[in-house]
Amino acid sequence: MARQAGRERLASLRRIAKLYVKSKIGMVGLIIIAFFVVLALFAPWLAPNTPINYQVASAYDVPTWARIFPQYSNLPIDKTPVAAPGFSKEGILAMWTLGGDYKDRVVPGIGPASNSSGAGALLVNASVPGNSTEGTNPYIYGAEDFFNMSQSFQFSGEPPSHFAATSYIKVLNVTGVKAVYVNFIIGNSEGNFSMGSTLSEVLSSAITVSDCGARLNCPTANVSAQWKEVDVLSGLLYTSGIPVYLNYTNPSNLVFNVTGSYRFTMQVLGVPIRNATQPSISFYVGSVELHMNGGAYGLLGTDNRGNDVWSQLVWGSQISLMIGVLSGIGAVALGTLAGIAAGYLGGLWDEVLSRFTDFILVLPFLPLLFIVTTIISENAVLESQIYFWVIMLFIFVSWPLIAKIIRSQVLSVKERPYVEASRAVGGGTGHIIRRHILPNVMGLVYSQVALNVSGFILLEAALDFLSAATHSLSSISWGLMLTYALPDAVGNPKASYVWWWFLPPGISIAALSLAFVLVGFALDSIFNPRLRAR
Amino acid sequence: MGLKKYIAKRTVYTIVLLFLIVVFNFFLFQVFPFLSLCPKGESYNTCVEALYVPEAPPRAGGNATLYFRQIKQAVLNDYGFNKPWTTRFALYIYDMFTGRFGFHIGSGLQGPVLVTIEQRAPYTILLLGSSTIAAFIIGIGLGVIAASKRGKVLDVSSLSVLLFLNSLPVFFMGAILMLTQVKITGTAYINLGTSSLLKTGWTFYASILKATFLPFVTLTLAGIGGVFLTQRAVMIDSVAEDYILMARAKGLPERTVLYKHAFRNAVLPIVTAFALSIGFILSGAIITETVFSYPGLGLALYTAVQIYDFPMEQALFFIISVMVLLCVFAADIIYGFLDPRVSTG
Repeated sequence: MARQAGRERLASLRRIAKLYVKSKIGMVGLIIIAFFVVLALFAPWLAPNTPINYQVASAYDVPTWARIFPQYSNLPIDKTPVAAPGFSKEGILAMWTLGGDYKDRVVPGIGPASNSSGAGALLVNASVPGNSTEGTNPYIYGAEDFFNMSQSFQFSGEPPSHFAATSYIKVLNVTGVKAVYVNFIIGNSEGNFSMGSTLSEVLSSAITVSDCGARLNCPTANVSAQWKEVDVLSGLLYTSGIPVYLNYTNPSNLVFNVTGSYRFTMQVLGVPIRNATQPSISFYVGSVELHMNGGAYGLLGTDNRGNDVWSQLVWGSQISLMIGVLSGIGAVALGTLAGIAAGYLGGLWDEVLSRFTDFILVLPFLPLLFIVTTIISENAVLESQIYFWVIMLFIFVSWPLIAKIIRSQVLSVKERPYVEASRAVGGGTGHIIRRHILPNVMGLVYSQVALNVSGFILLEAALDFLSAATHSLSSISWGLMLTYALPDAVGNPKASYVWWWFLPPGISIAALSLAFVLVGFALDSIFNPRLRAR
Repeated sequence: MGLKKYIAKRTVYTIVLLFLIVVFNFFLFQVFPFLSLCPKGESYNTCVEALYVPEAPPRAGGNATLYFRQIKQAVLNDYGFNKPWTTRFALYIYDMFTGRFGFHIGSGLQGPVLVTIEQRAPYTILLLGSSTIAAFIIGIGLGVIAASKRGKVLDVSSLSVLLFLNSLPVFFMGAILMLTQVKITGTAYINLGTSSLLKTGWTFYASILKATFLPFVTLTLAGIGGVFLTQRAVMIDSVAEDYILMARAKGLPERTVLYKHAFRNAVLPIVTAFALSIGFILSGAIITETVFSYPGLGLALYTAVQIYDFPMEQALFFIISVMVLLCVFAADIIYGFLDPRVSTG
């Protein structure tokens, strides 16, 4: 019996699929949905960049392919020729040449991660043997080269519009050293350029000169264990200690004027205290990167903070799909149960459903959703589950209307002769609902799911727009992308009204919600033969 | 069941519904926020103080401290947060039904809530009223024509264009329209600032119309789709009825069949939808008004929600609920007259 029912169901599903494939609009909808589902599922592989709070390039970069248009044609592409987001993999460390004036005193190791990338940091214990003398570094007076790491890269093409070197450093402790500096050097066949007019001082001033400057042997000082971001833009360059004033020319044109092999070096310099015995510094290097910013980046460019728009679009698809589909299924499931109860059992059930529907209809539900989510996001515990609550709210405001639609279908099915016949031979309520009512409303249920998912995708975007101001920025959705891009999209002619940032999420929302409507229509016309063209 | 009995039944329903809505609003604005915001065990008194009463500046003199203490006392007394919830509920009901909506709280708008509502309502009514009516006229017209030319070019093209418009987020559409205007006129979009609310004169009215234009277009475009789809579906159902077959068999001209027989029956469901839309006019178009900085009630509600200006929120929600209930009630009564099947059961 059960097996026969299963076979019947399979056959009817196959029949539906056959009819569905014939529907052109249904197939178009399905293909669009499949596209976004693939985006959502393979997000980690398709978009490796962290979508927010992670600057991959300069702000307002146009997409790379946009350079086919004449106005963007001479924008260089953003590059990161040297990138070490962390040192957990042996391979990344192997790409670097470690050194220093006293190479044998450098002990590399792997420590904790410095930022969200999760990769470990390079632990360095660097020391200078014997009693210190005056340092000999050409860039900083009196400084000694305690440690350096360098990597070669190839460069060709247009010079970037500007470039920047970034590193995360955490100094653990110092002995006999009064100041620590970080210096970046870019060298090519024509010479070396040191970046930055004022080299970044890493060691906090609290333990530098005043604490141990007068004494011969400075005790080991524990530096507050903070990561420090060393960020040097190409502003002023030095060649062998002589500043090159670049107000007249673009530094990029000077540094990247030849095609070929370049060497990028990060130096950690220390100023030893005079006559200190074996001065040493131990520190972590979290990441080292050299960015060359051009004005064009990636598939979809960057937003106003240099975040990757393509990654945002890909990760955002997860939220739209998740909220849309889950609340669509939830609302229709609840609505179907209530609709069958009200339609088949009638009486009190019916009355309660009608009154509740009237009640829900009278609420202005977008303001209501906005108010409730604002209050929820004020509470830290509830806010961490915000998507769950949004889905619950969507279900709450929409199930009664679905129940009403299902109910009217149940009412008409209930009166059909075969249901009466089944009742006459003693079929119970549960049996009739399972065997006769449910199969006859399933078509309506499927199309309702599709139509409601479409509505919820739009509703979620609207809610994002309203609550963007009170939202804590931990994830990105299409609605939030649109909201953040809005001010630039209507008022920033300099950035071409950020079309590469504003259009993709808007078009994606429209396409996905339209796709679900099309699928709903296709299902509707299969299950509701009256709608089929005569 | 006669028409009188039907009206009586609807009246009772409406009153019961109003009571339920008021209870819900009380919970939404006076219980739920504090359940969510106040840490457990903290009294309303301290919690409200932390939420709404600005801290006295650290070096403020005695007068300032006194001033802030007075604000706090006013907040607690006016909204009864130092009383048990049963008393607060009674107070809430009394306030709402006697129109004592109180004063704005927080850093946003100042002064009596009712004054804000009176100032902003005309703008919202102008915008929402005109766009709702436009959307319904165009939607019904297109829907009827599309249904009568089912499957033809006109039907398919209007269906696909409206379906597409329907799937655009409203603020996306608004921004694109705004950008189009900027591109055409070559100047930045100028909104009607809230500072101009009190001005009068012809140039002022002209500027209102100018500022209303784009939000009007946005809302109309966003609204047509729903009306069109409903009207088209109902009309298709109606054309399939037996009495249409009968009318055609009698040899009536197609125009008469469509517009006299089919349309008259197909317009009924739209009456309820229209009544609901009119009822919701005062809730404003919160998104569109925010995008265009249009000084209506929607924008006021948007700012109120962000700073927990609950007197404003609960006043607006109460007024909206009453209006919607009245409109639905009116629609039900009209329905009773138009469609005898409803009142005779």
